[in-house]
Amino acid sequence: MSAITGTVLAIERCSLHDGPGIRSTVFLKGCPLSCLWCHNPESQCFHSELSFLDERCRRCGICVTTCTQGVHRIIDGVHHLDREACLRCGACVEACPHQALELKGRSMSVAMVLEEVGKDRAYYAASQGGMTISGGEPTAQYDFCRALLQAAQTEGIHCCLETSAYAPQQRLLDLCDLVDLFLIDWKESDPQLHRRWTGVAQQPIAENLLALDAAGARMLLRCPIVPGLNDRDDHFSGIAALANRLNHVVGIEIMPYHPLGASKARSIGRDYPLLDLDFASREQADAWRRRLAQESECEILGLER
Amino acid sequence: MPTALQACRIHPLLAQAQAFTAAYRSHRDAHPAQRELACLREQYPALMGPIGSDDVFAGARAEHRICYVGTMWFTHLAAGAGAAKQGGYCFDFAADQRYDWSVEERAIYGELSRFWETEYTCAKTAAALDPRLEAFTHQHGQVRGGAGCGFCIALDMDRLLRRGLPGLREDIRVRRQRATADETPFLAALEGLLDLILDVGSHYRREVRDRVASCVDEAERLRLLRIDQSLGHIAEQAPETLHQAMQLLWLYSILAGGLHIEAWRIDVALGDFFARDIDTGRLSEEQATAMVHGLWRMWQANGDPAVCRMTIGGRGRRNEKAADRFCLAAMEATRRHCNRIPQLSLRFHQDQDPELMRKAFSVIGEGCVFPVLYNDDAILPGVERALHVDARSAEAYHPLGCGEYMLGNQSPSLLNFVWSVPKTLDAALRGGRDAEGNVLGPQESAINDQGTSAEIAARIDRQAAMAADILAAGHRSHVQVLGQECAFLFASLLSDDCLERGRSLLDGGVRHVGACVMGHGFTNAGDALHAIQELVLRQRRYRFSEILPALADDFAHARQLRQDLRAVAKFGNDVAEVDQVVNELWCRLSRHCDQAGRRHGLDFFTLSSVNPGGYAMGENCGATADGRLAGEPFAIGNAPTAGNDRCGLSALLTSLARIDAANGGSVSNIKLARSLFAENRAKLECLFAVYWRLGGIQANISVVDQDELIDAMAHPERYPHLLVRLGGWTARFVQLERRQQEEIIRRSCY
Repeated sequence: MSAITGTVLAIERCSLHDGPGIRSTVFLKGCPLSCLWCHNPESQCFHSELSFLDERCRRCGICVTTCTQGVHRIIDGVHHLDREACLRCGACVEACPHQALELKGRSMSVAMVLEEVGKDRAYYAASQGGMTISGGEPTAQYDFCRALLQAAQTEGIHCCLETSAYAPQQRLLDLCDLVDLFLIDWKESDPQLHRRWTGVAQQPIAENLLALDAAGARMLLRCPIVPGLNDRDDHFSGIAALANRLNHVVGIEIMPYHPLGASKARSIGRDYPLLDLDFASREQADAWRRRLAQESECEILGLER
Repeated sequence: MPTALQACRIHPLLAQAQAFTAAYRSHRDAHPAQRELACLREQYPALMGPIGSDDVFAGARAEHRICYVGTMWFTHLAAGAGAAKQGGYCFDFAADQRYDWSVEERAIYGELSRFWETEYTCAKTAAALDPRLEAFTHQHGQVRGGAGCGFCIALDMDRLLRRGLPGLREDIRVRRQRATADETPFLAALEGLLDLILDVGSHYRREVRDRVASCVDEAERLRLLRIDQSLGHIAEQAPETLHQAMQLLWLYSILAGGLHIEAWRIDVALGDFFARDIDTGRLSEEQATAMVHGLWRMWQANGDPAVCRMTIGGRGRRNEKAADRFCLAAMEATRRHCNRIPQLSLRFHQDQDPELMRKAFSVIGEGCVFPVLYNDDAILPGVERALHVDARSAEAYHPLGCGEYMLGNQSPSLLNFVWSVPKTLDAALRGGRDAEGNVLGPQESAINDQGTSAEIAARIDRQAAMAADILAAGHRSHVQVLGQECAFLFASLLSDDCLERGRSLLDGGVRHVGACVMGHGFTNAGDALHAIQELVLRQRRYRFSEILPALADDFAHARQLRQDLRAVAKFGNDVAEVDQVVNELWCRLSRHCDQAGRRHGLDFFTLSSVNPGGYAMGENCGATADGRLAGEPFAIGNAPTAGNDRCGLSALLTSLARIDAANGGSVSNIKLARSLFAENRAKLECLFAVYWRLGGIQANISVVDQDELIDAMAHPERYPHLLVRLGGWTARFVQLERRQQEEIIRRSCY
């Protein structure tokens, strides 16, 4: 098996929402996009990061004495972190008695990941589930992602790839034979707004979807809908039009916004731009699905008829 | 006997207790069966309550009682020793606290208490206990209990309904023709018991007629008349309709059990009546289901939640098709009833009609908690090995509320002792004492730094062997005293092979006499043992001479050690190595129980891993090497310690399934958010289908709604596995940040 290693944020076993059946989702670290609503901000950076949960910290100061780089300081009962100085050695994480510190992301080989993923083989078989590689943007760790897909395919494990499709086209096409179902995060139909929300151009993504479709890749469109940003009529029309144009879209899934990314961003010392936004309500989500169904020829997941 | 004048001046319950006591006294030297019958005649119908306004059947328990003879009653022991499971002749030593009695009434009660203080059966079982018990079964001991002597038993209701009261009378008559002199008093008492049941029936018929005479509501009149007709029918013939069958089953159950109403294979007993009434058009499906619900309400109104279990489904049913129809109605009744009594359990196997499991998931998904699911494919081979019975007999297992195995109408379940497994590990490492110096078992030196894995095992063996021996001796002496004192006539009549052998239940009548110890803290002890093996024996990072004082000190000066112990893999994460340590520890202790049981003449003696008590038992246990602090609760049943399972539901289920079914039975509590259940039903069914295939024994699945989510914030330890859906993903609720939890609770949509 490949000796390539990747930086893995987490492997979530028993995932029920990342593709068909019961799955294990492998989150790879690193993403070229910077979506305003990112619900996994700790997956954006390509290397490991120190996460700090203030509500767990008891200000015992053990991390202060453990760290050789002076990353931690407690001043007037407030815990300050100098993240620039952090070597990500993990010494403070191990020393913290209150589980307030965590190192997000670790280096794993394909074999290590597959060993973990393989544990739930019986559950995959019973439910037509398998492995989903997600991120971050998994194709950004292209060699590792590819090796992992190859290894899983060899083992007969069904594979989904959750991607923004923001990647060199040939690379995506080269993965077609290894991926049973692409979970495509289609974020914004308006090219200008796409750049504003995500920081990258939409055009290469749109072209990639056409190319994947031409290559026969099965796709599920997963569309994050954020109130006030992309819950617009023209975007729903855009999603429907895209899905109608592609031949291999098996369905569309609305992903209603939730603000849980905010606390994750805070824990790794990042700003989170959408602080004022609330959970999308069930009624709102249902209304979006119904709106989409007006124009879409594809199945809308979770649509109550 | 009190005079009529006396009786009307004193509290009726006290008068009944006096009459009961007088019957006991005058039959003190009589055959136990005859004495019991005499007492039962003073017990029934005196202790039966009136037919309730919603009751579909006659037979209700009076709210209180002072004197009682039966298999089990939860009430107060003598000398302020608290409440316990009394069995045999029972007396409530705190009854006077309930009433504003006159001086004269208090004097009567005082006289009765003084008499029963040495005469009630618990006093006799306690006096007969092995003297070692007192030295070792103390509050801090490995094992505890023995004060109560009550027991559970599930009776052969199928036989009752197929033979009817006249058929049973005929069976007794035939058996009496070849009875020896010493068998006759027992057999005659059984006949007397049937007369008593008829008397109770007549008592209710009189009540019905009185009420019908003054009844103006037509529906009410019809309800009462139907009860009357059924009582009239079952007095003379075997039941023919569902109502008659249920009336007989219910009346016998309430007379036999009182608070404790165990129903084994109720689907087999009632299935044919249910199917026939519907197929012949006597009842519509809806009417029949409503009648089942009516029976459930009787259970609830009269039973105690701890001891009212019903099993349906499973292998070895003589009338599977009809029984399955009843199973579906039973689950539907449970859905409508949505109450903690009766505790419905569904046994199932891979060849069973899948519709039953689908129905079970629907009912559970609505938040009914029941049915509890029991996997015959894993359990039956386990029961064969643990109870030393053949495959056919194993099919008769009936799980008690915490999953302890017993055999329906073939064995009583004596459950009068508990075992704190972490204490056994403590005793093993410290040489028979705990850190505070309490004596726990055989005395030897504490383990030294040269100790090996094999030595730990040998030390556990020595401590466990003694504990098991004490408990087996305790149960054996309970059985002996109970058998000498009581005939348990209601139980004897419907248990194999009392009638055939001409012997009462515990006097050589019942086919298997076994017992079960309720074990607690297997996960904590197993995790602790594994952590020691890892850090002391394998990695050699710590020595025993560091660990033992640190545990004694509750890790006060060993923060790093505690953290290292906690960092070692724990049960519940699909790590085969540690799962096996937990399993082997249980099997090891079970072997000691088994051997001790045989030595003391028990047909089986098992060790279960059960539900209640984990909190209380943890309070008396010092810190353990899994990182648990002194006094913290143990993990409950077959479950990881709260928060220690971090790899998701599939990993948890895989770990649970590694536990051998050939011990005494166990519970696995799994809590899921209602929305998750509703939206991912098919995937959840798949998850559990794999769990069963892997050998999972049992699942107690509950769905959780908003109020419980609030509770989960305050008490995360009670909700370790609670999954919730957040937008597009699933999370473990207790691991979320407080703010996130609040959001989820605020938003009922997730």
